Amino acid sequence: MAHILVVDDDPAIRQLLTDVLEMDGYEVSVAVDGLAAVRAVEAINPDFVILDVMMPGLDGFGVLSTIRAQPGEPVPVLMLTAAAESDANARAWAGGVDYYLAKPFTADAVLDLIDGVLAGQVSVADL
Amino acid sequence: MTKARALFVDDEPRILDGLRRSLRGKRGEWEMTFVSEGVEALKLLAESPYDVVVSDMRMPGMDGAELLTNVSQRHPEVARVVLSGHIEPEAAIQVAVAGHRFLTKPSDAESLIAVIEQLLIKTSSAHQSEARRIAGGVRAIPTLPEHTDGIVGLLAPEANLSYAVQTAMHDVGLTAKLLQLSNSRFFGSRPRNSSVESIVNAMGVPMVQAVAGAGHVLRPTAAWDPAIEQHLRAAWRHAVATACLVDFVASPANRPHAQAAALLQDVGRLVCLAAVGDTGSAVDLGAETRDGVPFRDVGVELLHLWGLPPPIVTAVAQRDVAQSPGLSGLGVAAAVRTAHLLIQETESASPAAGTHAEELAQLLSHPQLKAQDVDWRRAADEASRQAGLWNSHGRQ
Repeated sequence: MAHILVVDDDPAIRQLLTDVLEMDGYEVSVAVDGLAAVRAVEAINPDFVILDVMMPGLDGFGVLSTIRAQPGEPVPVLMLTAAAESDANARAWAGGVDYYLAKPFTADAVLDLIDGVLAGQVSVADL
Repeated sequence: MTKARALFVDDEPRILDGLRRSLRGKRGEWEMTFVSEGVEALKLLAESPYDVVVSDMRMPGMDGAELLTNVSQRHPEVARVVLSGHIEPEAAIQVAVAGHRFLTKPSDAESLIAVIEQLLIKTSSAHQSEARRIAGGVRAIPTLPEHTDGIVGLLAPEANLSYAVQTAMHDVGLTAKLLQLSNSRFFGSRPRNSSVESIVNAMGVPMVQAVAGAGHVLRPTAAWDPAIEQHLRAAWRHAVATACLVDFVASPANRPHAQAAALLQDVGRLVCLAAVGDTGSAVDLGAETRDGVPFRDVGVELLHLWGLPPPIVTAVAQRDVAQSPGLSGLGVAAAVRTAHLLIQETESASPAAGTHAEELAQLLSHPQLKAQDVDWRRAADEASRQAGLWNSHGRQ
């Protein structure tokens, strides 16, 4: 089963994402700040990372540049940003995210995206 | 609805009993036959149509490699699965070439069922059985004469890892074969993202040499008509140029799949055109069909049969489909389409596809691409130039 790392300093969002992802059958780990996220990526080698931008200390961009500098196959990263961070979108793409969602997002939007990526995107039956 | 038909071949009664037991749950959907000898399997296949054959490798008399080779020639429409406990690299590669999918014994019922169910799906809606028959018989993808030098160099004892990576990354047939092998569980656990580079690194040079030297990846090309060879050369150059460029277009985690899909985008054209002159195949260059089946449908069916990752198969299937990606990201298919359309404006354009200026402008205005500090036209010209150099490599 695919292993997903949820990185957010907001306990409500961590809980929401953990609940819906676990209900969908994913294994979920959480990190509460940027440093914990970098350590967790190294320790658990997740299949997918959901990364919040605004966090105290090392923020989402810092986490992104650290994990993108590591050797080996890059892990897919979905970045979540608040609407107030107007240049976050461009910074996220330039920093090497694979997917991007602006807050407020629905749990369904996150699930659809992750299911699509991890279940092999479109099944050949839909071609 | 008619039941799907699967034939299982193993000389050990214990294994056949185990299969029968573990697949009992599928009796309602599949008609299953269990036999202990290759000869008997061939007799049954000649008598009535099957969808899938699952065979052991080591058997007295006719072994698995011989059986599956026979099946590939006489019944190319039957999907071939190797179920084997024997994994000596040399022998494994021989059988790997004869089969479509590979599982090691002991395999849990779930994995076997999943593989068979995937193989029962056919990708082409309009020409299902024809596309399966043509793709099923393909064992190798043609190599251009000027590229055989690269493969010969790869087979030399002094070939190193970086040479192997470079050769494999630019060779359509070798890329497809390595992805087929690595995506099966035959050679250990499945890599997460399977870039050709990481596959070559994981397999090591001797194994890649064994794959390239198996005598099936390279196809003799002497008999090609010059017009066809010209056509193949253009398709090849276009594929290499797109693969170079898509490295900049796709996001980091999507790059390995996007590069593979770009390189394999015209695999159907390559295998169909290489078959010109084979007895009984009617290739129509103008209509882009073989025996009435579009080249692309053959290619997609082939990649699906070989078990390549679905994002690659999907991106190849959608190469000629207009893309309008959402704000959450381009994904693999739209990245490949974007690189393809950019290359269409260069010297490496594929004569068989047109330009779509409006769609390309839309794609390039996506925030993901606008955020990159790249002059896309210049990058496309550079990728095209690189591909031209690669294509003429060895011809001086």
